[in-house]
Amino acid sequence: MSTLESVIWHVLGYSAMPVIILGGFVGVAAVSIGILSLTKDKE
Amino acid sequence: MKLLKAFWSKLTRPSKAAAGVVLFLGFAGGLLFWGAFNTGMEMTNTEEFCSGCHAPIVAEIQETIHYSNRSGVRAICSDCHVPHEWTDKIIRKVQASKELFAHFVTKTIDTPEKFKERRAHLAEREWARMKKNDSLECRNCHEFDYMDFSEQSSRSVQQHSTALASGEKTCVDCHKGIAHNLPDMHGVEGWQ
Repeated sequence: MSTLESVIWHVLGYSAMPVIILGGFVGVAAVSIGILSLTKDKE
Repeated sequence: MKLLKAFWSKLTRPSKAAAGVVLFLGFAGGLLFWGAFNTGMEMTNTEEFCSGCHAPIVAEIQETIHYSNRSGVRAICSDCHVPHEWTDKIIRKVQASKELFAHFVTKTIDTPEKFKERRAHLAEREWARMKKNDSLECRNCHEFDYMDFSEQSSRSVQQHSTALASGEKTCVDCHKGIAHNLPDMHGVEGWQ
């Protein structure tokens, strides 16, 4: 693997980490809001 | 868009639920997400998963000491081909997207003939990766500091006590084809 290819994969790999964590946050938030909407936060 | 606006509105307004309930939902949701994510990622590390596309290569290990041996300790594909550290593992998994593209779109190794033709190239990439990380995946199990030279053959002692000990060579420099059949080794250093 060339240095350039290695750099590209490292950039993509490290970029994927915040995407995973933020994606998890959005997913958990969506489910939590859904659950809360069924009870206390019902409008 | 309307759904996104509603979601954002809910996110930015205080909940009527108790702080403990909101915190618990976040904590439990976080645990579930992280557990599910890592479980999913570990599922892509199983031999069954690898066999889905690489069945003939996975079968080759069954003839080697890394599959069956006197102590019953064995290595599976991911032990040698996927870094164990989480960040390195994620980078490798992202990199695997290129391999999926090659498998499903460009179909570079979808027949035994194509695979045979490309095998040397694929092996060389893996050897280069392992040389670059000083055979890290070998060293996850085989620790130089605990090698008992009295249990090794004289040829192994000669190489391990000099080239390996000094760092001049790393495991994969000599231990090629230990779990798979070797490709055409023409032109490979030390194998002429």
